[in-house]
Amino acid sequence: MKNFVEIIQSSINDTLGSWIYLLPEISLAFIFILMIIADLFWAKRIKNLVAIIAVSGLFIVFLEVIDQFILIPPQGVVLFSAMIKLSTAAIWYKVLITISGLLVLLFSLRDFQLRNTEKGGSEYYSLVLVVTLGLNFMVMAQNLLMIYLSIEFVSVCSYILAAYLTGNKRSEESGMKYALFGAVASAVMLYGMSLLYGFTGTLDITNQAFYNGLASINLMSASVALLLTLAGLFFKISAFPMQVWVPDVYEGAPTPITAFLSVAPKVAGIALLITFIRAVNSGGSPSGSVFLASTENLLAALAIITMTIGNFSALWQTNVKRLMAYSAIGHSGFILMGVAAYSMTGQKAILFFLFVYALANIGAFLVIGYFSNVFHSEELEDYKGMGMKYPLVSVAMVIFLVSLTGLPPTAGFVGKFFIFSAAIEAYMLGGNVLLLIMVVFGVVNTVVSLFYYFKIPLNLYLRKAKTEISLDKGNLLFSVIIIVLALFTLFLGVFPNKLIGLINF
Amino acid sequence: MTITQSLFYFLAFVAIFSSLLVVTAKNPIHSVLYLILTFFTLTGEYILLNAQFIGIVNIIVYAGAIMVLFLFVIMLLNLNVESEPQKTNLMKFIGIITGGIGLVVLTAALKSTDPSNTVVIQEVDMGLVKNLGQVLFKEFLLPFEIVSILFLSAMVGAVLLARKETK
Amino acid sequence: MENITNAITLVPLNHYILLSSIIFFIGIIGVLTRRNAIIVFMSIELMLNAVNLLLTAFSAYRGDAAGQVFVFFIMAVAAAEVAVGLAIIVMIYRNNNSIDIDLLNKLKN
Repeated sequence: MKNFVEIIQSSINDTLGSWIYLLPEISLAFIFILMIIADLFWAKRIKNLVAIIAVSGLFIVFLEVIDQFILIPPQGVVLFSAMIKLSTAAIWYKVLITISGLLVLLFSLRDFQLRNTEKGGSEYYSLVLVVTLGLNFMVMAQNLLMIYLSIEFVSVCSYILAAYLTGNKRSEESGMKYALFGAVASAVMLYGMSLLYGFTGTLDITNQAFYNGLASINLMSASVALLLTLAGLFFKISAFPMQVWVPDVYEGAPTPITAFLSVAPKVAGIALLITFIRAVNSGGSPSGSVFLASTENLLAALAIITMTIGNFSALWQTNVKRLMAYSAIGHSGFILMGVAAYSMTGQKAILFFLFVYALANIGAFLVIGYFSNVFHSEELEDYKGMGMKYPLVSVAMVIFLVSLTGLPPTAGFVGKFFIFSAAIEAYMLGGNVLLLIMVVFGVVNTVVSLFYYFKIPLNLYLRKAKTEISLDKGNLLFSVIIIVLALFTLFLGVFPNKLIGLINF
Repeated sequence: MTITQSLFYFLAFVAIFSSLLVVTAKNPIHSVLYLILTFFTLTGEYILLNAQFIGIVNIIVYAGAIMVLFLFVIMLLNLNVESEPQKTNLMKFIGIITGGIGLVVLTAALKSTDPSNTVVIQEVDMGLVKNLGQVLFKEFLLPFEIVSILFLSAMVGAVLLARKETK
Repeated sequence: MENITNAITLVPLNHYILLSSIIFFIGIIGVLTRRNAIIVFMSIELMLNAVNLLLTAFSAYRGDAAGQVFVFFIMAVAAAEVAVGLAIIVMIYRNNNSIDIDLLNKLKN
């Protein structure tokens, strides 16, 4: 009995010492519960109460995340018996996730489909907050159990959000496909994790025993275990060979959710992938890890395949959401390039690229949502001649697309430039030819992406609308956010140092 | 061969056989019942491994809760042999070949690890509730709390999706 | 207790890995060959159970309780996943009168 008292004592002390570092996550959990209660008791009396709590709550969480920059020491803090690690890099990813969460909440407020769904909107907002909570844990996780749990947390809530438009057959289908693919991917990842645990005897991937255990068994067994585990991460960042679900899910899900899924889980997945790759390569010997060359080759090869598949499939799409889904796969390939050229500058390049990508991608989906509110269609055909009718929004769309292609003077150009230079730098240092091939493929794919991105402005401006269709009024809130995002994209293109100067780890 | 050793091979045989029946049975209800049989054999394996708590939880949670959920849904939707869709033989063949190749590759890759090592139980009372509870609430406190939020949100979502809206 | 310990000694770790691999791939074959969404979910449960067996065996082999706690979490999360998955299945059945996953083809290019 005395033994138990001691254990409880130390456990309480540990928890009390750690909770201050988890303030944003704890707040998110409380806001979630508050929203459920508010929906139950007061939602009838006050209109949009749940949405207001969600937006203001997430804004408070955003401030708390910013505050963490001051709170933590430079080397970061390891919390809850090495379950999670809060480092400066993790806080940056959290900032990005929270910003995209806020934008998506504002997006959802005025989305036509969501406002008219039979279920009402209140559970929707609470689920978006819960996904944000899971993503926050994903970027901090450094234990196999936490990795599995946070990925599954995000997945389970995303299935619900994808299927949220219950009357709509496309949304249902998207939810079902997401759930089936996600469950299989997580089972495969678990099999890999259990093998890793068996080989190393520890769940903590930063533990030296983890690397030593992997390095001591034969390379074949270790690679099988690592590949199976990586499959689950590749599912989240929609990289080859786990990218098949992306087009269907993105097309069928509500547009705000598509915008969210194309950005936030990818950010968290990349953060987790970097943690994992770093743990696998943390060999103690001066010559480096035995896995260094093989992980570099694997990531470079996957980056090439992923971006080629994404960009070439996008060429034949006629639905704008589906086109953006393939473009999202292509961008995963570009980000993987940065991960393959893994280094400290590589990680900064990835973070900047993710920022730029998030701004432009959410902006582009906002424009799609705006047009979908106006004429209830996401087909490229129906975009004909809309550029003259909605000049500001269309100009913003062109800016986002230019940024996604990676042309000056937008931020996308700077982002791609950093990724390419990180890859070339890694080639200079290591001399791996595959990295050079990867850069060549990256340039080719950038040119290819120009062709399908160009189809949207082509329809907006150069083609005439066939028939006069009845148009609803555009939404003011959407226009404001879209223009602000477009201005940010231009601003970061001209003055990239304003952001890069801040990123410091 | 000792009794426990022969028990291991017997349970392994039944587990493989019944899990094959899960994926081949024409009637969904039979699949559920075979799956429950698989769970019982796996519980036997857990007890042989001295993981008593996991064995009991496997029966209570998997066979008791999750499979009842499956049975409810199957009965609610009134599924039976006639309504059961079948893939074409070619697709089935491709699926079996893919799975078989995967199994061979995995077995070949893992074969060279610890070839003759046998499972020696080092701590006899490791799998008891007392010991697991200490580990769970000390090292794994944070995941435990996170799972509670996951359950709450999954519950909200499941009720939300399955509920029929009254117009 | 002592008897069990000695007797267990005789089952090689490789046989546990083999058994769980076989069950895992039976699950994968089920996912690939069946069209009924519920059976697909049951095949996924088979895969998860293979993982659980492997983790428990490794946990006993290493004398480390973390593996068994992991199994506990997998069971908990699997329950949440199944609840959401079955809710989606019920919803789809109500609108389509079928849970055949090959009929889900509204989204095709």
